[in-house]
Amino acid sequence: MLDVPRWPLASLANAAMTDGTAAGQDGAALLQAWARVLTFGGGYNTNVVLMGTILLGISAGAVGSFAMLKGRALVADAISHASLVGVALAFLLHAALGQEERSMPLLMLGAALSGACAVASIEWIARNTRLSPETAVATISSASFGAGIVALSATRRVSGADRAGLDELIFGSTASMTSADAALMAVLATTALGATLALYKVLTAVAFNERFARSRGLPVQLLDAVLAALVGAVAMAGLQAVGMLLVAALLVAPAATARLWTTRVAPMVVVAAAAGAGAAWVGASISAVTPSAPAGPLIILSAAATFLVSLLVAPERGVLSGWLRHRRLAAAARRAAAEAASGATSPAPSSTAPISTGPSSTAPISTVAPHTGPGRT
Amino acid sequence: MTLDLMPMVAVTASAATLALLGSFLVLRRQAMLGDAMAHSVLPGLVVAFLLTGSRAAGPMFLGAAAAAALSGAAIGAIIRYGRVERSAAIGLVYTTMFALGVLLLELNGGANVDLDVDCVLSGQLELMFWNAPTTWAEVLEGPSLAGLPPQPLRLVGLLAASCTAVVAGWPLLRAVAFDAPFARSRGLHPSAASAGLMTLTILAIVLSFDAVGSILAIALLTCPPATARLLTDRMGPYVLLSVGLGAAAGLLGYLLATRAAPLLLGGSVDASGTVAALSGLGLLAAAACTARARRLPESQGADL
Repeated sequence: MLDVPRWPLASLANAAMTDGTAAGQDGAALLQAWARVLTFGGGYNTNVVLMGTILLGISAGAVGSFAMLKGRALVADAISHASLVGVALAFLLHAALGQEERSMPLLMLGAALSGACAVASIEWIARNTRLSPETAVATISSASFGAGIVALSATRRVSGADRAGLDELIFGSTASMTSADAALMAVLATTALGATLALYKVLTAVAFNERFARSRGLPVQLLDAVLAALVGAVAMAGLQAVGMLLVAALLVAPAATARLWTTRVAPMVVVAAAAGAGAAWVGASISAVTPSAPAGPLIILSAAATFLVSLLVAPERGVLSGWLRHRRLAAAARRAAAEAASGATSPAPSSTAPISTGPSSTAPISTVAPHTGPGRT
Repeated sequence: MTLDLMPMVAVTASAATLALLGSFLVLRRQAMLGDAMAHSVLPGLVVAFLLTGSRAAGPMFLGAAAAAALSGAAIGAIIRYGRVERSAAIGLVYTTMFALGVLLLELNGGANVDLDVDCVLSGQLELMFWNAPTTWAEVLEGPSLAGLPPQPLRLVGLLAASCTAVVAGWPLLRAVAFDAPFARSRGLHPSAASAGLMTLTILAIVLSFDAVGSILAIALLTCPPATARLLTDRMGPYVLLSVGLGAAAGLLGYLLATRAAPLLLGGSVDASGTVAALSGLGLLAAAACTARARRLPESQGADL
């Protein structure tokens, strides 16, 4: 493995720090290095990995939108937790065949197979037993992760094979990615994105009205499986950069962010893709200049920060706009109440007086204020 | 008495406690909430550890409880204001909290060896080895008792406390599990029962952190109860069976990983992972058996 040159994304930061640790730890130098990576000035390999991660973010946003509209956001969680068994078993098999190099495609194939098994058993349990789908997801994903930990501990006994990077698949690390790894990630992500866009109309129909879709002769079950496969493809693509424990969040957070900004599907997919790309861009580039910080958590925290900001300032559904609307309504109601009171002071019978006074008129307003009903798109 | 008696006790006690408390989560269809809590306590644990510099149970519990309360509030707020469906909100919050915990751990990774990412995944059973006395004379002498690791004793204590709490609060728990409004109308306090269960569950997750790690605690919190749910319809047997299955998975899993695996594979494998996988296999077996039994009446109904 040593003869294959690796150009870790972190090398840039190391280069920045070689002229002196004190200067390297200096905040200004770090910011400068970060700005250079952000503007794609961080060297060939860094750029390839960064662009691959951004593509991953785009396709996670698009696929995640449909997964969330369909109420299947947690399937990604199960797929990614279960993928550890497949990765470790594929690694053991590869080592048993006498291969010493780590083969990312083979690891991903193993991950995809075990992820598919997990989804199939969750579906089967939810359909054929009295357990709820949520319970099925929680049990299968955690137990299969346990099996993965067992298999991972068995890989430690294999000597000679290159098991570097196996542990990193759990929490994600762009630092150990080769440009071939990044290319594989980009291809998978682009394929998932292309399939989602090609199936845009049918996926929308199935997401919103399953019965209508079935009446139009759409193969609803097949499309469910296709959506699960697309989620799986994104999860596999994100295995290395984001890590299996966190990649589910990359499918949920951008889609949830987009829901706050729009109520229509096409804009939602676009906004989600943009949010995913932004989170991947920021997270991966910060990780590139701070080697001790893994990319996965940084990308997820960037996505969560985007969601939080959107939750506050989004025009229709944001907390801020809701509060302003509430205040406007309350003010209008108070004005109306005051007008009614001044216009009809003497003729009004005393029994109706409480209805038009200030305190009681503001009370009903609060019940029509936004965010009280569990409305959906 | 063997060197690894204490790890075995710790795994079994932790598995039984988690299965006992998890049975109420599964019964109220809140399995995902257990999943979310076990993930989201991580930043609380890390912050408590970084502030105090030790793994003392008290600060760790406070940190975990604060993190769990924060994520509970965040999930509620996101469902209400963001109008995101429940499972997506839960998924969003707990992965974010977990990411925060992992980031804090990794950023301080070089500084401490006591709390690292591996121990999040599979606990640190190897810290609990104890050179147990072999004769009564040694027990009376006392020096080996001083070396007794505290974690297994705490876990056994928590198991006893949880059992006592469940037995004492049984009428309340039963009423709340099936009909909370009715329970309230009879002057009982469903919220008190929920709060008590949540506190015990968080405590169990924190103490189990040493024994099985925070991710695999989820398997023990959900799998034995789900298996028991498939096998029985009555609440008393359900909870007992759940505890029994949890303890059995803990003990058998530990023995498999440390005794059987060396014979089969030439070396021991991760014990807590084996426990989790075993509890999942138990669930699959129970599902396979009961699914056939469930289908029979349906087909008879279809014939008529």
